[in-house]
Amino acid sequence: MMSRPSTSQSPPVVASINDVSALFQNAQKYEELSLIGTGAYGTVYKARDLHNGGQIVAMKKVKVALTEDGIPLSTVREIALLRQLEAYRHPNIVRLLDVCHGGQCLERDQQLVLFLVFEHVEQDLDSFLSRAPGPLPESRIRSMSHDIISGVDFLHSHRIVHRDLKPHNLLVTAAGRVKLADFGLAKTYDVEMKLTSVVVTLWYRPPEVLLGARYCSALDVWSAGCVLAQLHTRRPLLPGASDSDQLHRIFRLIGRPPRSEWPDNVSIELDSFPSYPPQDLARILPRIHPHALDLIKGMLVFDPSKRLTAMDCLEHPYFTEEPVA
Amino acid sequence: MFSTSSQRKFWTFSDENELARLREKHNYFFYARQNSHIDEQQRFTYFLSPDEERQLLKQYELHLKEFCKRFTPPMPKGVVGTAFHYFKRFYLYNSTMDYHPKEILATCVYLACKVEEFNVSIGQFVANIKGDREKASDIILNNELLLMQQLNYHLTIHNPFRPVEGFLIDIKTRCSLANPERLRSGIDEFLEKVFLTDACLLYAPSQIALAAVLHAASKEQENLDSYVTDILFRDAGRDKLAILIEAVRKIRSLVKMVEAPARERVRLIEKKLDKCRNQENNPDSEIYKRRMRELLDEDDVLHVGSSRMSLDTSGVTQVLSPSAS
Ligand SMILES: Nc1ncnc2c1ncn2[C@@H]1O[C@H](COP(=O)(O)OP(=O)(O)OP(=O)(O)O)[C@@H](O)[C@H]1O
Ligand SMILES: [Mg+2]
Repeated sequence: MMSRPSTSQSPPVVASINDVSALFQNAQKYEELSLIGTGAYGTVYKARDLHNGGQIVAMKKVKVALTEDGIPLSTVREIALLRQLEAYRHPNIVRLLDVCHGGQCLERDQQLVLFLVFEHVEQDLDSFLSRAPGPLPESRIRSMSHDIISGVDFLHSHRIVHRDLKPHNLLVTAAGRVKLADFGLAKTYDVEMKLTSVVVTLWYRPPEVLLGARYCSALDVWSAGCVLAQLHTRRPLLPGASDSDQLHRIFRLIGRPPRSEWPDNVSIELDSFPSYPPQDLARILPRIHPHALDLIKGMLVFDPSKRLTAMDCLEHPYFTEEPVA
Repeated sequence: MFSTSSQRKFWTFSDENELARLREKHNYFFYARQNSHIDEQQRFTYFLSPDEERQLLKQYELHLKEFCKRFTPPMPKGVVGTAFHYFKRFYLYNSTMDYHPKEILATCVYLACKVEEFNVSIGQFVANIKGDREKASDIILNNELLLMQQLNYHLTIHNPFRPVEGFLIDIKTRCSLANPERLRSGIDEFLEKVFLTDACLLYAPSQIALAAVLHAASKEQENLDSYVTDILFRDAGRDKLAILIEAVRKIRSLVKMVEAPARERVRLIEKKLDKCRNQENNPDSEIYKRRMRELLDEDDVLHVGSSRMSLDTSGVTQVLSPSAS
C-alpha cells in the first residue's frame, strides 16, 4: 500500500489546455449582448443563455488574483456559500443560475476570471427611483421596504453581512419586487476596492464603518434604513461628500452620540464634532406613515447594539399591523 | 440544511442503476470521441471497460483514505468526507481515461481542505507527498479550477458526522442505552467504510449516520430498534419509516460488500490505461508536447521560463507513479 497520494506526472500546463477548451464551452453557452454596468468590483453584461431557450441573463465578471496557494480560500468559500444559499431560492435574493470561468492561463498575471450568471432583472432601485414620475404610493413603499429587510434578514440568518446595501445593489423586477444583489464575492475585493479610484458611495455607510470601529450585521440595517428613507423622498438621505462630511451629516440628523456610546480605539475624537442636537426625522420625511417613521428611526441608531435587527424590523408594527402586499 | 441543499437536488441519485448509466455513458463518450479505428466489438481490448474503471477507482479511493489518514497535521473527518464526495462526483461525469485518478485525487483533498476551513498552505500540503513536491503542487494548483468546474461549483458538502453527533446526544437523553459513547468506535469504523461505497451518492447524510449508529449498536449486542421506531421517528408515519428502514438496510449491505480490488487486476488496468488514456492530457505523449509548443508559441506573454510552465518532465514519472512504490 502506498503511503502518499498518487499525483500526476503531468507538467503544470495540463490544465491550461483544459481551460482553453472550457473557455470555448463557456463562450458557446452564453452570448454577450451588451454592457449593463461597471462597478468597483467587476463588470456586468447582459447575455443570452444559448442552452436554456435563449433566456436573458446578467453575467458578472469578476477577477480573482491567484495566490501561492491557488484560488484564494475566501473565493472558494464564498462560491461554496453562494451556491449553497441559492438552494433556498429566497424571493428577495437575485437568482444565481450558474458559475463559470474564463480560464486561468489566458490571464497574464496570475488572475482567474469568474463569471457569475444571474437572472436578469429589469432595473436597479436607483434607476427605478429616478424614473418614478412622482412619489411612490404608500403600499408600494411598504412592500419594497419589506422585501429589502426580508432579504437582509435571510443573509443575516446565514451569518452573511452584505456590507454594501444601496439602491445600485437592489434590483427591481417588472412586478415591482426588490431583490438583493452583489453580496458574497464582494468581500474578497474589499482591500482592492479601497485602492481603486472608483468612487464608492458613502451615503449608506453607518458611523461605525466611517469611524473605523468594529462592525457587524447591524451595518446592513443602517444602510437599509437609509434606503427605506429614500423610498419616501426618492432622494438620498445623507449624501455626504467625504468621510468627514458624511459623519457630520449623520450627527446633524441623529444628534452627536453621548460619550458613553463612542467606540473605543478609534482615531477620531468625539469632540471634533459640534454637539449637534438630534433633528426631527419627520421634518425630512413629511407625510410619512408614523409606523414607517418609527421603524426608520430604530434603524438609524448610532450604537450598533441598540439598533433594530433585521428580524426586529420584520416584526415592527409597520409590517404587522396591515398586511404587506 | 441537507433538505434544501444542492447535494440533495443535484448530487443524490435515485438508485445504483442511475450511477452505472452515468459512468457507462462517460466511458462510452470517451471511446466515441477518440475516432479510433478500433470497432465497437473490439473496444475493450484496448479501452477500459466500465467495470475496469470501477475497479481502478476503488483502488484510488483506498489511496485517498490512506493519504488522509497519514496526513500531518491530522485531518478532520469533515475534510476526508468532503474529499470523497468530490472524487466520486468527478468520476460520475468524467472517465479515468480522460483524467487519470492520480491527477484528481490530491486535488480533491486540497480543495476539501479549503472548503472545510482546514488551513494548510500548498507547501504544508505537498509535504505529505513523497516525490517531486514542486511538481505535485503545480499539478494540484492547475487542476483546482477544473475540479471546481466539474463539481459545478457545488462545493458545500453535507457529511454524516454531524447527524451522528445529533443521534448520540439524543440517545443519551431519550434512550435507556447504557454508555452510548462506546458506540463511537463502531460508528467510526462504519463511516470509514461507507465512503468506499456509493452510499453518499444515494442516501441522505442522516440516513448514513443512522445506519452507522445501528451498526455500532448491533456490534455491541444492543438493539436500538424500538428507540428508532417508538421515540426517534414516532411521528414520522409508517411510509416514511419504511423508507428509512429500507435505506438503512441498503447502506449496511453496501458497507458489508466493500472489498479491496485484486492487486494484480488493478496492475493490469493501470498498464492498459497508460496506453489508452487521452494522450492530449498525458504529458509524456508526443501530441501533448506538440500542442503545448503550439500553445506557447501562440501565447507570447506566457512565461516559458518559470517553473510553473516547465515542460521538462524527465524523471518525474518514476517518482510520482503509484505503481512504482
Ligand atoms: N441580475 C442583474 N440584472 C440586471 N442588472 C444587474 C444585475 N446585477 C447587476 N446589475 C446591474 O449592474 C450594476 C453593477 O452590478 P453589481 O452591483 O453586481 O456590480 P459592482 O461591480 O459591485 O458594482 P458597484 O460597485 O456599483 O456595486 C448594478 O448596479 C445593476 O444596475
Ligand atoms: Mg454593486
